Amino acid sequence: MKQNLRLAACLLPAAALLLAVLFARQLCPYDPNAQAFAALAAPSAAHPAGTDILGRDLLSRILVGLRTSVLATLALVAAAALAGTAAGVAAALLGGAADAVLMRVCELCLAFPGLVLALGLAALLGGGLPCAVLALGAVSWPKYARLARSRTLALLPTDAIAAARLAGDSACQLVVRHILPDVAGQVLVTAALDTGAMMMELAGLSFLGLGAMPPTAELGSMMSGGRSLLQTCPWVVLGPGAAIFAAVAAFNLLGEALRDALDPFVCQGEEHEA
Amino acid sequence: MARYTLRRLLQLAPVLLLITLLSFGMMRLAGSDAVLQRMENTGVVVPQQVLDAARAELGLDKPFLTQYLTWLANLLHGDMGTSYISGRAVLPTFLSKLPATLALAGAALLLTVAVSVPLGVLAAVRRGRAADLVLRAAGFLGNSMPNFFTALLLLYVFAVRLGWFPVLARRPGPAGLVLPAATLAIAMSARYLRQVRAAVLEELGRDYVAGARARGVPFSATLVKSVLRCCLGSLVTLLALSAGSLLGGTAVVESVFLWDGVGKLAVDAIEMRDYPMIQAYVMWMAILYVVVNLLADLACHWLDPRIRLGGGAP
Repeated sequence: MKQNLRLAACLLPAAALLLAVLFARQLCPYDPNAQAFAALAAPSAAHPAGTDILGRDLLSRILVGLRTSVLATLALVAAAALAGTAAGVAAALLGGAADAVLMRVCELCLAFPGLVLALGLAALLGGGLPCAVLALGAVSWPKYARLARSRTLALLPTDAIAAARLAGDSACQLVVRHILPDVAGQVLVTAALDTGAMMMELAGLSFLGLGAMPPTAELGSMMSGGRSLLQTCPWVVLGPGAAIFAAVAAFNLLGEALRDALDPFVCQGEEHEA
Repeated sequence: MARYTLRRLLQLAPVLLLITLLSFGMMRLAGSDAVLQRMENTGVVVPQQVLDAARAELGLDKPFLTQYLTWLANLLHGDMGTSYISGRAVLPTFLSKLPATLALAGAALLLTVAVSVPLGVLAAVRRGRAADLVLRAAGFLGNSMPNFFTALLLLYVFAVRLGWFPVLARRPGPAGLVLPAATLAIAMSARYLRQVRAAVLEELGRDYVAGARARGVPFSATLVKSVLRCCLGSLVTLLALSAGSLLGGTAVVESVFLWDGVGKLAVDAIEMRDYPMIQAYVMWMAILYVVVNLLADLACHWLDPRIRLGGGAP
């Protein structure tokens, strides 16, 4: 019971974040793209986060930017987790050459420092938010592939699988009924733990000019644009920064709570290193 | 140990080869080659024949593998092509900026170890008490800070508000090194602190610790002489693994603080779509990362007396 309460408390910030993201448009006090106010006004009652250099309300832009960042991150993590799991399960089932090739590819990807490779890939793909998502996805799927593969390999020789095979399950049914439900838990925990880091890296790519392009409100590029104003109008930078920090913290809290709840071998709050 | 070292060095060769292959292959994604890049700069529409002739001259019409082997042979002679933008050779430019980045990364690494090892041990020893809870909360918060936000926050507080450091560290120097190194160290320490804590906790749970305690050995002696000594190997490995995010982090931090290293070079190259420079950056960073991890592996083996003295590698 106490455990459940703890889990619920850890889920709360992430749930609030998700609601804020879903209803970002409705929550905005002003049109995020309307250049309707005095430029670079300090935070006040009318504009809780101030206004930016083009006279747009920053709170509205932060909310919409958060929406862009969070949705892109979730898409990225979901795509990487799905692709990696599919590849890992397939490799374990097929075995032989396909398995060997896939694992070598994974090792090669993991031999590169992730952010450096993502940086290079995003640059070569040409920039823009979809390219940044693609680049980070290309870098992060091997983790899931390895996890799903080792989990599947551990599962294959068990009696449950043998029984299912005897009962006449096809490979497809085997995967859907027996393997995926088992693999899903660990993949989910890994994905949840990864979301915060991915959000930071995606915002980092945007910050370097490789993510969302100017008209779109995105937190990383907003901070990059406001960099030169740090000395005179710090709120232009600190507001979006605080928003990223809060969102990443919410995701990390969720990930760690899920790990503690789903992994019976971990004592409360202990660190596992992947 | 010598045999193990030799074996690891031999294993390194295919990895390095694959890194060069991938770095070379990545250029193919760019959708633009040296010829297009040069011709586009003139602003005139160039007939296809001229493009083809220029490509033939540079060997760009040959099959992929031939081009790769030519490129690799040039690489072994220290030639990584010329920058699209400045027209200067890529490799010397890159190497001239590398020391600044290594100094920054080294300072961050030292700072990380100096901060997180003592604090991690403290958190493990005081498990569940106030110090542990505070350190764990700090680690959690540090883990949620994007490095560019940390950089700008430090810049705002210590350079703009307090005026302790120069806002722009144009000239590499000790004063300009503090904030960028601290930025990198904060992100690394947050993770490393937890890993140190976990490693020490695991070791503290072993029977010999209870045995030493029962025999009346002072706890501090057990901690320093046995527990930390046993953890050393895994601590080195974990530190080397985080070198990857450290190397990636330098790109962001260098461009915020205008630190004149390879990270800033790469970010500038990305802005200008200077592909040969980006390629050099990605390839050398990957090689650096692989080498660092190899060194950590060797150090790990050397630190373990069972392997060092027993002769046979597992």
